[in-house]
Formats: sequence, C-alpha cells, structure tokens
Amino acid sequence: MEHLLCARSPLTLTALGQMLTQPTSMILQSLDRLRQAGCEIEQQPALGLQLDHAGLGVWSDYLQRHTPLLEVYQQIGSTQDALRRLIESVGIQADGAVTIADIQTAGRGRLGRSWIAPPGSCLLFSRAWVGRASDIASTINRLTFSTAVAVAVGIEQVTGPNLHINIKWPNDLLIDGRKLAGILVETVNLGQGQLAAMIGVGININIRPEDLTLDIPSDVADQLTSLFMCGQSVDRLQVLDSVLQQMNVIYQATDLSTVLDEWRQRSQLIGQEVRLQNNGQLYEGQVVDLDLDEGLILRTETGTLVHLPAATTTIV
Amino acid sequence: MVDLKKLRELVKLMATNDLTELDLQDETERITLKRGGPGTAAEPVVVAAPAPVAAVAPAPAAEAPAAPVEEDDGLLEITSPMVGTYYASSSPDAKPFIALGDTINAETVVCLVEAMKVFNEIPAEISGTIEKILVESGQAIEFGQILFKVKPS
Repeated sequence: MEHLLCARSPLTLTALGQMLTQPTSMILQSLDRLRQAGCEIEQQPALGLQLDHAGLGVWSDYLQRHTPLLEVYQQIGSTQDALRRLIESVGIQADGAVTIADIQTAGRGRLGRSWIAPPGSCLLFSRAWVGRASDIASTINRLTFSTAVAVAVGIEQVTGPNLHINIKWPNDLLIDGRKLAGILVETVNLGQGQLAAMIGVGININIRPEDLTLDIPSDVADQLTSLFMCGQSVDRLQVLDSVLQQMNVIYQATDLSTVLDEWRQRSQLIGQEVRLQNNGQLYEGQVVDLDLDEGLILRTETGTLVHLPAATTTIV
Repeated sequence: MVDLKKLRELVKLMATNDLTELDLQDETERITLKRGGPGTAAEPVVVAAPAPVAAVAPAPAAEAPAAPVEEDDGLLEITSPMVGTYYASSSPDAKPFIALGDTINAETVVCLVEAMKVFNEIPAEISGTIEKILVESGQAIEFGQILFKVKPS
C-alpha cells in the first residue's frame, strides 16, 4: 500500500514484487484486499499499477502507526465533535487521537461559521493534544504556531519544493494569497490540571475549478485554492500521513526556536503594512516582528513601536 | 536605535512581572515602556536621552490575582485564566452556557474565551449559584478579570 501511495509513476507487478520480496500471487491477493477496502487501482499492461484513490477502508490500518485511537467516518457532523466525544470517554489517554471524515455535514469555522466542502475533495480531520492546564495562554500560542507550521511542512513534504505555502496570521494557510487550509483549535478542561485541545484542520486537496461554480459564493470562490488547482494531484491519505507525522514531531519539540523561525519565514505579516484592532483601538503601521509569548510589534507611521498582545489583536 | 531583541525581552519581562511602566536610561539613550492596564494596549515609546541620570530599577512584580477569592458580600468569583475575548455561547445563535440563577459545579463550562483564534472552554472550578454576570459576549477581557459572582452552595 505504502509503495503504491508514494509512487510518483506507475509500478509494475515485478517491481512491486521486488520491493516487498513477495511472490506475484501474494501481491495480487493484497491488491484484491485493497480494492475491497475501496481503493481504486488502475492496472495497465504496458505501464503497471497506479493507485487512483485510497479508499476509506484502508485509512485506519495505514494510520495506526500514528495513534491507536483513530476514527474514520464516511460522513459526520464535524470531526471536532467526534473528537470531543472521544476525549470525554477516555480523558488524558486521548492525546494524539485522530478523527477523520470523508464528508462533514456540519463543519465549522470560527464562531459557528460553516465550512463548505464538496464530498471527497477536502482532507478533514481533528487531532487531540493533551497537556497541562496551568499556562493556558502560552499553550495556545504554542499550539497555534506549531500547528500552522506542521500542516504547511507536512503538505510540502508530499508535493515537493515547487509549492510554497504561506501562513496568514494566525491560522490560515495560503498559496499565492488564496486559502488552501484552515485550522480551528478548541480546548476543554479535563480537570486535575489537564487540558485537551482539539485541533481541527481542513485542507483543500482535490477541489477543481468547476466545483467552485456550484453552491459557493463567488467572493469565497475567488479566495480559494486547492492542491489540485496548484497542479498537484495527490491522495488525501498521503497528505494526512505526512501532516500527522509533522505534528507528532513538532508538538513534542522542547525547543521552539526552529518552529518559530519556520513560522517567520512563511508569515505573510512581517514587513507588511497592516491595520490592526486591539480592544477597540485602531493601529496602522508596519509589522516589525512577532514574538511567541507576547505578540506583534508594530512600527506606526510616526516611528513609534507598539506592542500588541496576539491574543486580543485582529487584522482589519 | 534600540536593539529590537533587547526591546522584546524588556516587553516580555514587563508582561511576565505584570509591570505597567519601565524607564531605563544610559549614556546614549533612554527607553520608556508603558504597558496598558485592562482595556488598553501597551505603547512602547523610545526617546532620545537627556542628561545622564541613574537608571531606574523596575518596580517589584505585582502578585498575580488568585482565583477564586471570597469577598465581603460572601460571594465567590470566577475569574478569567487568560487575556482574550469573552463569549457567552458556543456560537452566536446558541444558548448561553450559563444564566443568572443557574446552579453550577466545578466542571460546569461557564463561557468561551478566544485568543489567537483558539476557543477555550472555561470551567467554573467552584460550586454554587450564579448571582452576577459581569461581562458581555464579545467583550475583551484581561487575565484575572472577574467574570461571574457565585453564591456558594
């Protein structure tokens, strides 16, 4: 399965046999099982085998190496709600748990805004993170930065260096100014000093230009992009595998300076002229830097440096 | 011009110790940093140094407000564990988490506080009946700010 998923060009049966050191008969049986699980595998006499689509049936097996707590739904209200139920039932054991949906019927953006996705075109999942509840402000700062970096790096590991993903502060991923992915984080208190975060991620993988003409308002469609629209034909499972891998590494990192450097490089904010709002006051100027703990440093037109806490600042 | 890194460290120092004003001076320059109290943003101002004067030592750190605190009125307080925006319900058209007169226990979720687009459910951590709601949905709140007053059960 892994060989087929990661292959950039079709593989012959013989080549696959050599990679797996298995006889052709066993490989044919494995392929049958993959097909039964919903995988579409194209077999052309001249070229060989190519995986067109990894069926949901193989997702949970393939992703077991990241976590034993994995729920794959064909259709669900929202992966955040599914993860919340899982956290409520297993408590702190839920750390690293993942819920995935092929289709979301009640996907959420911020504050109850809905998240629209044509069936099968997006990678929609939520991952649990469990940690201490004592320093909530620094925890969420850390999670926000780390998640944006993990998702961006995870995607680029699959697509290669031709794609450059930017981070729009604090939680959107963009390619050429159009939205590729969104992140929504919610936390619940588990009691006994423990906090669980539900990190919800939506990545536009296979949305095609023609999908955008249907039900989506044109102002939304103009700001959207997908990996397919950027010339990248990849399977959702492969992207998820790579992003989960990055999350596991980055969330466990003790030194965040590399993550922050990566974040700065991808940030669309540093050096930009922006208008910001903080507690009802409006600020205009150039963003000088962003600090992990304390927030934005802005140079106003008069040359004054203003420090604005990230937690309460919005871009207008 | 002041080193940005140094400036950042100073800002961090102020925030960590909850200082509102910091005045530093040496031969070449003088830095005055002001950090807002509730409802205002910090505004660091860098000015040229006048005649050299001894540097002013930072004031001792203020105690972080402890929650919950019992007051004269016999009511307990639920305070915000973080800076952010207060939301009374999970979405604009949803029912508020709590209303006046509601009975709550330590695990009752009383509100959401949003910071950096992260939505955090805040548990009551105390038991009783909601007597006063001191904040409005959408309002910016500070660390330690009193959100609710609770009559202990």
